[in-house]
Amino acid sequence: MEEFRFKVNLGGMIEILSDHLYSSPDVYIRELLQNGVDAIVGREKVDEEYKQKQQGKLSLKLDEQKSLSFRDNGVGLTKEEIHRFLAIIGESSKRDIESGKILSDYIGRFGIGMLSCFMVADNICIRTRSVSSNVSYEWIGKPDGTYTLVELQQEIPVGTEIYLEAKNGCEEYFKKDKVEELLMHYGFILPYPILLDDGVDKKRANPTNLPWEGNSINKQELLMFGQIMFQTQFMDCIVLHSEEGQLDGVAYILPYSVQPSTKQNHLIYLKNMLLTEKGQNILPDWAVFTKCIINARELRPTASRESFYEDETLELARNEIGKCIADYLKELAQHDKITFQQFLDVHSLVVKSIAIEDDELYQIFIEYLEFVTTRGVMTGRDLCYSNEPLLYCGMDEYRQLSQMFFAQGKLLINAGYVYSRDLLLKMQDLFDVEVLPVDFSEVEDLLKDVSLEEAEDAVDLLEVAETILKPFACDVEIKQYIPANLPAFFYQNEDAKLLNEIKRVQEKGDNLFWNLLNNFADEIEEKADAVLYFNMRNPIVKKMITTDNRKMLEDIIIILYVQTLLIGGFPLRNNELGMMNDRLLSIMERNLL
Amino acid sequence: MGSDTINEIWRESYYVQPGIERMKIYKRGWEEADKCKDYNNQIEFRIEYMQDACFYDDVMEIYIVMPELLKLHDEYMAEYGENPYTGSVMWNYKWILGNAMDFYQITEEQFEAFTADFKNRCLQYGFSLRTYYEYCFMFYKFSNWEKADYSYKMFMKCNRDRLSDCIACERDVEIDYLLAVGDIEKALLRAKPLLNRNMTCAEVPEITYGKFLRYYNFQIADGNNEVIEIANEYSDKIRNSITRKKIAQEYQGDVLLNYSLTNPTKGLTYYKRNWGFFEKNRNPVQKFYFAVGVIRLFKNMNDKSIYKMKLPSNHPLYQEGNEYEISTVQKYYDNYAIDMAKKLDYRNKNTYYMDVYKRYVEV
Repeated sequence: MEEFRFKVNLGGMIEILSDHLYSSPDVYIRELLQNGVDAIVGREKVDEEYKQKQQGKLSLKLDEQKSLSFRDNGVGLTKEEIHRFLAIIGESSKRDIESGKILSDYIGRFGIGMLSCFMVADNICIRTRSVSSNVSYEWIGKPDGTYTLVELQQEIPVGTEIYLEAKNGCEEYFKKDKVEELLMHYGFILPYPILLDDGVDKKRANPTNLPWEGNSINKQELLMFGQIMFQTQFMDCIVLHSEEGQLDGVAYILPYSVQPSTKQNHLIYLKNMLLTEKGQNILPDWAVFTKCIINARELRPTASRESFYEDETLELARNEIGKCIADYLKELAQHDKITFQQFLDVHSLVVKSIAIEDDELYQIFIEYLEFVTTRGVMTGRDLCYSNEPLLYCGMDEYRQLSQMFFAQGKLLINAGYVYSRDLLLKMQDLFDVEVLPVDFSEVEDLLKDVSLEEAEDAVDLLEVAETILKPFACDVEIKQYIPANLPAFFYQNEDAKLLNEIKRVQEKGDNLFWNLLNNFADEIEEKADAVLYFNMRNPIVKKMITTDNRKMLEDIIIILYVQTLLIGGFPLRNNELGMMNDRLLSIMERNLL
Repeated sequence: MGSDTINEIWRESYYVQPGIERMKIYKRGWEEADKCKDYNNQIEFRIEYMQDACFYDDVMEIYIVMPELLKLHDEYMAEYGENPYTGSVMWNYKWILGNAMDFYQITEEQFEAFTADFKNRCLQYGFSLRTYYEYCFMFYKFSNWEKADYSYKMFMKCNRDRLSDCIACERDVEIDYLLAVGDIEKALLRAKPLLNRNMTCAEVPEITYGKFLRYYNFQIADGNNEVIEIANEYSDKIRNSITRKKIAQEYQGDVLLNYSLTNPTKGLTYYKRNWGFFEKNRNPVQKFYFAVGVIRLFKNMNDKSIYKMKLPSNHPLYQEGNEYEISTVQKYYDNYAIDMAKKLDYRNKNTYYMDVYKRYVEV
């Protein structure tokens, strides 16, 4: 069988890179810096003196808006290496020849970085001399995939120099301000000096030390650093360190509250080179209240070099970062309650979400966690020591039941707020308390039986009510309960609510689903339970029992029924409001006649 | 007033985690939008609600919301000839098809009616039939292999478009097919980028772990103890991702089954922590696997008739003295598992679930 070879259209590749892989041509500076750093690392491996004396450096000479030449005094390339690494796309000089694996101390991995220079220049001219040779070479590559290689007559210093001339329309990427900004942006924390020479000034473009490194860390300096990097005055900051992924950095606490679903963009460096300003997957989801600057040494970047692969190392690193932040909060909660309270005022939601994930923190935060109950706002600690089962319910049920629980001095917790339910359930796991969703039996306990005589008196009322409320699948009962000013109480279990909803949808929805909804409804029907409880203690109900005006009784029953639905926040299905209005009108008309 | 209230409801939803509480807010949102006939919000609240129901809470809810969503969409379409929400509504329709095999309440005739309607809509709105065939495969793989196989091949032939699932999800479907035909080697090979997390999405690789776990659990139940370690790894991965990705909860029953086959002590702890999953869940297949896991778990204690364990008082079988008759616990779950197996098999016109039950319980 005849074998053929694919041909790659380099011009098309460059278009793909610039349109789909890289977020902007700005990254060409990043790629230059990256190759330069890798070359220095390469030389440090073979030249002990060079390494000891920390002689590695990068320099960029700029002819504004026209050209630039970027130089490193790293390992350089031999002739064979030039053919191999500069001429084959996807081949990287950082690959170990024997194993084919990328060596971990290099930043670059894919062998495509140099192509990014074609986004701003028509040609790439490279002059290089290997540390292992006295011969210097000049390589000129073109975007059509051709290149030339000549041996230079004069000897150049060991290292590599890349010369780029701005292509039409790309002059802005060669402006001094732009280049300076990009050098700062990408190379801010590089461990090697970057010298910028614009023909007028020569200066170092990156600082000599990182604010979070060293033995004595100055918090004010760190906060100042954060302010410069993010243009935000942060509440506080936390130094981060993780052995996994060899990661260091600083997390800044935002001075404003954020939604738990927010994705913060962090400044992520890989081996001191800015990888992305939009790093998102490196922190635990709950750490939304931080903006971070992180330098990782051993995480695996994706091909676009703008995030990391979701692998086990990243997961472990994420956990360790999470631990750093959690430890800080723990320390604050235990030893600096004022600051912690300030933190809580802004980030209470976040504290709740962390408490759900971390048992230890939960036990520390418990005294700060607040719950809305029928006994007012109570802290988690109050609830733990309340010595009674902790009944909770959702927002709608709370609206429905709280009045009665409150009047009878019973504890009911509104678990409808964000994270409240999970926090309560966790209380059961960690402390010796019983946490239960409110159940109909608890509600029944609040509704006391009436005497035999009273029950007899109410028979006629119940009969009328049963007849008139039949279309609503609502049973009726007479009970006595506090508060007495509540004439009736409507209770519907979850199945009844669902059944109600299904029937509503069947009336209004697409017919295609009719049979399916019927199948669902048939199963639910026998478990559905909806009851209107009249309150014998209430004067209106007492009056209803004694009245012999049937028409009036029917009107009042409907009015009370709709009123209880409204108080309980139940959805109105069958024009109940209209019915209530009709009944009110009927009463008014009768009285006016 | 309506739009202020609606904006306030949206704002409220931003601060609430996905799931039941946020769904309640969305529901309030569409009720308000229905009142003032605010079309955009009538649609958008329902779409968001379905998304939370599908991925975070109770998938059965999507079948109750979809009829109204579809009607709202079609009425607008009839009036204006086009609808800016068509893409989103069709995406939601995929969830209706994609979960159908788990609900015995959806008869084959009903599913055929859904797919016929979905297919018509794809053709009408200019979508590829790739997704249509994908979901036909997923449904029929349990009931009609000929149809499933044909659908899968058509799925692979049709072009991808904006209605298509992401490439990670589609690869997961491929794994599903390979596991169904018993080609575990190829399944593992094709799953490599998913399992090493080079190809991920909101659902993958968690659902892929689940599929392999189900496969290996079967193997263990059939006496192949060599795969215990592999199965345990998948089980651990699912268990570890449950807090981060709720979609992994779908396989809680399989995790329990794995424990019951390989480490009953841990299984018991897992059961005590997660029994609520069974009570709260309304997905018959997920409940079935959990129930089978419990039955198998307690089957390991055949030498005892009473077992002492602490269950909370809201557990349906709660006993004050903390002593439980094993036969009572087993019966509770057994009744459910058999009932579900019968209903699912009746719908699927085969004995698949009853066979699964027997494989774990009657061996």
